[in-house]
Amino acid sequence: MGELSLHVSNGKIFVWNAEDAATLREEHRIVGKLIGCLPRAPRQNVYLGLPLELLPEETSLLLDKGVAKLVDDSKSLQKPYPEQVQELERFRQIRYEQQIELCREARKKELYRNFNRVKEGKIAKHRKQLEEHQKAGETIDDSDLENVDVDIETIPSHGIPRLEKKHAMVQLFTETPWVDHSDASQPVPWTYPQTELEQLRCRVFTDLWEKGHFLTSGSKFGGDFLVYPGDPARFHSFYIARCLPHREQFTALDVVAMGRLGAHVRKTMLLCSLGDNNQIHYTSLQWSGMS
Amino acid sequence: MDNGPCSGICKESLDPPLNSFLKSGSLLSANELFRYRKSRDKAPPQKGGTKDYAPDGSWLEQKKLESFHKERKHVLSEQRVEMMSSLVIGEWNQEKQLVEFEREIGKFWTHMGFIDHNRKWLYPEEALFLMESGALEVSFMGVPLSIQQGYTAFLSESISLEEYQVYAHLRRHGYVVLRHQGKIDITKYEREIGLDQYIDQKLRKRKIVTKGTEQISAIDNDESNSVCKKMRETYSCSVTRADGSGASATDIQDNNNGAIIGNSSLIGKQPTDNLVTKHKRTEWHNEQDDCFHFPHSRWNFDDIVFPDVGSVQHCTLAQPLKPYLPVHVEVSDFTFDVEEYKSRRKPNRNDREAYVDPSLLNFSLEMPKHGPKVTAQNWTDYKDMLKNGCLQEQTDVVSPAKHLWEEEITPLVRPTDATSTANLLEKLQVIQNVNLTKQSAGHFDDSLEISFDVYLPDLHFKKSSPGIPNHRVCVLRSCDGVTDLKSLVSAQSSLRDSAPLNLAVIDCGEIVFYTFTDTTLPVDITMG
Repeated sequence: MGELSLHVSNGKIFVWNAEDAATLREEHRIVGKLIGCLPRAPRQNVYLGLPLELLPEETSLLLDKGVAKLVDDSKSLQKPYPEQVQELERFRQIRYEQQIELCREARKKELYRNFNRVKEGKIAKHRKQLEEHQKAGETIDDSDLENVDVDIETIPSHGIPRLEKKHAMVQLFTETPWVDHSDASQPVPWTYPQTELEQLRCRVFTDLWEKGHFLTSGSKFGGDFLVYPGDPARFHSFYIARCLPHREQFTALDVVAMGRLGAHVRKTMLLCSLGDNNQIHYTSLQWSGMS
Repeated sequence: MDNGPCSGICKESLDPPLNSFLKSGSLLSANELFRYRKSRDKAPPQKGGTKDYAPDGSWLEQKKLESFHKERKHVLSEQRVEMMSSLVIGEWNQEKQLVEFEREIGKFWTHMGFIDHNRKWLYPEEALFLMESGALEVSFMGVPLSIQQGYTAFLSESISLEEYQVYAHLRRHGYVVLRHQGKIDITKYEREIGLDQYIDQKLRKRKIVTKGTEQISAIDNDESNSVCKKMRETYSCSVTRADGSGASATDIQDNNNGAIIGNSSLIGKQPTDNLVTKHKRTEWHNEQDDCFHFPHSRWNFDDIVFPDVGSVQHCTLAQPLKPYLPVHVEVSDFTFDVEEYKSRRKPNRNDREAYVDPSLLNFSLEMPKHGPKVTAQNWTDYKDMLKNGCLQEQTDVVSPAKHLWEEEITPLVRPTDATSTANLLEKLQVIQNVNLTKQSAGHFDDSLEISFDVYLPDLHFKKSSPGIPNHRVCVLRSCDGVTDLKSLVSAQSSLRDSAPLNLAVIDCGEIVFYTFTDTTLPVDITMG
């Protein structure tokens, strides 16, 4: 199917395509975070829309597994070719003309639907006119009153006003509609992870992901990652993963703080560190109430 | 993305060689566009609900997951479709990092954007938010920008992604969010008495705040010569008119060039000015009065206590302590009789000036016989002396504990301080409480960069005089260090108003707000 595109923009990684975002979640267990306004309801904070922002660890993982490739978005701001401008204008013009036709058709359909009422109205009007003539003394044949009929074709179709350009619907592009003509042989540089802590985080992320978990950012609970047994939409997380250097000392106060935090939110605190044998050690912390 | 069944009239195929630049995947067909004319489903999908404990591989669980994924994909792939007539069309200006537009539609102009030189501008975060809401289309070099391009272009120099996320979050909640305007010069007292409405509108024009960049300063250098020249011209014109002398224009220009540059710094602008504000200053200088016009009073009326003369019958001021005053000055208890003042409030204009009630004059015309033993020269000295309590050195109080005061370390309280428990406790309080809203020592600490002023949504909100914000927001990333209390206190207190400071900590899309507030520990006074 080809690699997914991850877009680099001012140092952050975004996914702009809804299909790709769905694939990442369903097939590759990468959750990310939606940060844009939702098109159908832009003024609420409950459900946000595209773009999907990825953690740098998620990006590193996807690049390593060969699932995705990076695209540099700053190139899309270069001066467009004149043909590009023309193409878009022509595209919009075509859509506008198509909408004129659709509008006319819709109006006609509406008239057909309401034709019975229109017909009744016209007949009633005609009858009234004849009755007035009768009152005025003219002799009218009674059969005329019965045979009033209105032909659908007499409704003038040129009476339907033409759709104005300003009333045309226009699509505002979320994802850039331009084809990416950038050179595929020049890969976009990706310099994460750099420091030891970043490398540790990356290792821990990859390791936990390979074990089949879903992982998201853990800053809500004071940790590095939240570890879910299944899709975060359906399950609560089991662990709060916290990456610590293997040999660094921390005080008992830290232990109490972490333990309490985990206990309060019903999760297990998972301390992750890189041991001397280049293996990741997981230490869980659970507050056992002794009473 | 399905193209949909097309009727015989609507041709889906486009003329060749189209689609060499446009991707066919995300383009909506005319049918789909047309469907958006009718009212569409605007309800955001459900979020939340009970979750299961652990995956058990059941069919039901699979079904629920599938329906969630399907709904999510459907909602996310919806496009923004608007009628042309309800769209504002704007143009992105890369050098200024602003969006310019001509005609506003809708109500956003009441709380977004600004005017400069009769042109309407939007900040990049405002423009991006309007684009995401489907109210604005921004074009750049002849082509309308997509939201993806907007994120790349607008969030590069002037504002960062984290700041934009906090901005959008607050905006979606409904707040009015403006860039941080700095200290508001209008004091609370002036606001209380309604003086703020009469302050010159021009002086309080909303500061245009952009972060200095190399590009902008480059343009400034080119323009600043013309700006200086213009200022020189206006100033030199006024000087020759006033003089009427035949001094050569060049002399005056050279002399005054330095003066003008000096003047501009007096106005107290911050160094990150941009082209736009420099133009505004020349407008001010065109009026001769404004050359040396300082902003209005800087007295801090929070600290100055005015006796409330209007609501009492008599107004009494405490008598100053006699030993501290110079010898030949005598004061008595000052009582101001409000009733009497009110009754004779409108004497004759002539009388008022000449009238001096001799009984109110209360100083002795005698010169002191012995050498003046002046202690306090002015009120500042008096207050200092009072604070240091050096009165005690002059009195010859014999106290059994006198030896305590002979060393370097002296007691904090004296027997004479025991007027009340509260007084005593106040003297004992060596560690001063930090008060976030009281003013700091005076110097402005900008180590904490405040990003936004946030106001509650209000029908009467005016951009030109927004007033004191509901709160201010400083945006921090979770990987940044924790700020220390000193910079927090000085940032908050140097602004000198009651709006609290919220810290927005953001980590890959998750935003949490923190704030620090004053607490005073209760002082337990059980006796006296």
